[in-house]
Amino acid sequence: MARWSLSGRSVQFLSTLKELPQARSNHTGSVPAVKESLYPRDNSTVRPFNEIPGLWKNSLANLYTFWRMDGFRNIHRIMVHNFNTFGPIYREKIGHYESVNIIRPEDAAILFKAEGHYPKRLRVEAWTSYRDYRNRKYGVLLKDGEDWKHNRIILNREVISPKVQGNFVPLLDEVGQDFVARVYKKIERSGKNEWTTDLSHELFKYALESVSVVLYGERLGLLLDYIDPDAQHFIDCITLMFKTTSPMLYLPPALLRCLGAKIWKDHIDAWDGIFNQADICIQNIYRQLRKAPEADGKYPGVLASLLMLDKLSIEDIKASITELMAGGVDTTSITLLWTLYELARHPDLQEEIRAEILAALVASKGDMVQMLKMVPLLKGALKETLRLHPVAVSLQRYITEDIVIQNYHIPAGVSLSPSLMTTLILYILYFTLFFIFGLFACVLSQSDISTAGSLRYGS
Amino acid sequence: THNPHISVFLKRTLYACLLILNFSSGSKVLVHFVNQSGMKSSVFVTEGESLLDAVIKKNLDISGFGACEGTLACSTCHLIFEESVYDKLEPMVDEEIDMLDLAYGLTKTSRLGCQVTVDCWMDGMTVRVPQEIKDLRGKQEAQSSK
Repeated sequence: MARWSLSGRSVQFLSTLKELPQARSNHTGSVPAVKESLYPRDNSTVRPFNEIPGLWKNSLANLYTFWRMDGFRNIHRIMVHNFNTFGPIYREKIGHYESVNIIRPEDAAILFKAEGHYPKRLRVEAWTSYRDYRNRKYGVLLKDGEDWKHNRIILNREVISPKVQGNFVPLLDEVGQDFVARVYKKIERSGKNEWTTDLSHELFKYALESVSVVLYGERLGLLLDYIDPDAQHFIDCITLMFKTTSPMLYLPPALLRCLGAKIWKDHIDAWDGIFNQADICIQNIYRQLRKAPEADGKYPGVLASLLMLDKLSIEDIKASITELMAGGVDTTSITLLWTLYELARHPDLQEEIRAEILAALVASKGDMVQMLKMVPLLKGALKETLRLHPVAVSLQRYITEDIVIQNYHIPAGVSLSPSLMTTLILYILYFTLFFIFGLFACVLSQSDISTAGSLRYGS
Repeated sequence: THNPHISVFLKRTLYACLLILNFSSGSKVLVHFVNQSGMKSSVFVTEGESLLDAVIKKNLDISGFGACEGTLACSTCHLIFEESVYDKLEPMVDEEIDMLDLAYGLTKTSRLGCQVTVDCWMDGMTVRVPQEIKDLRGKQEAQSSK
């Protein structure tokens, strides 16, 4: 019930935001929005950084309070509380994590304008510590500067560019069909014409199967009744990795490593498992490429394409592929879960989307790529889900130049964090955003789920 | 005395030469670019190239243009068109709309340069990036209040 009251407060907060003039709506043909938002409208003096409200003076006390409030599981509530207490900008310091948090879209625009040519994201020390410990390279998620840009540009061409998206469609379609078949089978087997399950677990497997087939061109077999123990171990490792990451955002991993803390050891084991799985897949691809390059014209997956392209070192490719794989699971599965939940609350919308997809299937005459261009309501539903339930807690930037937000001066180098949990605008997220479209379209393109009886979520 | 046949012959020869020149080097389209400081550069773009290609090839001074190199992963090649030109451009795909939505200084005649292919009918058009008015006032105040 507490969660319902939270969304009540969120809606209240958001509705006041709607009354604020949007930077874009004030914009005429020749006056850029940048000028309006960069400099304060009232000509009052800009206030110094140290006057930004928030609890940032005693980081250890804050850490203790955070722990008492079960902070790791309540971050979204704490954020709403803080914005209500301090206003649209506040500074926080918990343990060794420090950040300035903002929430207004206009302020986020100022922030991203100051990110520079090599946007510097939050440094997740737990993850970089693992790689330093095992002497492995950083991938595109953790790299910075020119190295990041160089890798990112090459990966863009193989993963994001509209030209290559057609390659993924048949692979994702296959996984989608298998998932839906599995759902029907489960419903049939229950004998009650319905299936009650922890859908998050099923969607997790679905997301992992999807991202793997795109990256490796091969199925892991996660949608079968019997799952390969290695594959299961891989899933467990991803879960453990995320679970052990949260506390280490606030406590220095180096300290935990010195103390020989269990959380550090678990984190190492988890990443070891993830990297081992990637290594196995990479070796398989290598073997296949050597035996039969360009065999049967089938798209071989992102990894094989990168290896054949030969523009990045093998270690760089491995590092980025592993990070893409780890990053492509929770994001997809949780968004799908939220989308299904929202659709369950809006059965009329379900019918409309279903009709749209069926019409698109007919009009596109079996061309799935074409079909995906003809489903604006489906895409709108996914975007709306992401607006209501952003997949990440926040987006962070270390700014490269001084900026002014909410009339406070913020010097270059400070980490800023626009909170996504309670904000209106849609940010650019990660590569996996595309996967969500494809996967979900596949799920819904099958004959209607409603006749299969109710799908109840587990607790 | 003026011989009409000779002048017609000369005109036709000249015309034929121009046509041959056009075919051998690919149709060139004149495009005027106005950068963030209001500086104008006029260049000839080969028909079929994108406006991003043009900026890169001609090394035009537009800050941070085309960061993602045409993969629809950013909005740094944002260009503002004249309305008459904008109305005749090919419609946007969803991915371009999504990226354009996040561009600074968005207008009703904005497009992403990497998605616009130059055609003969665009000859003489002007495209511009959002103007940035450098105002030191804010920064000076910030300095004094540190």
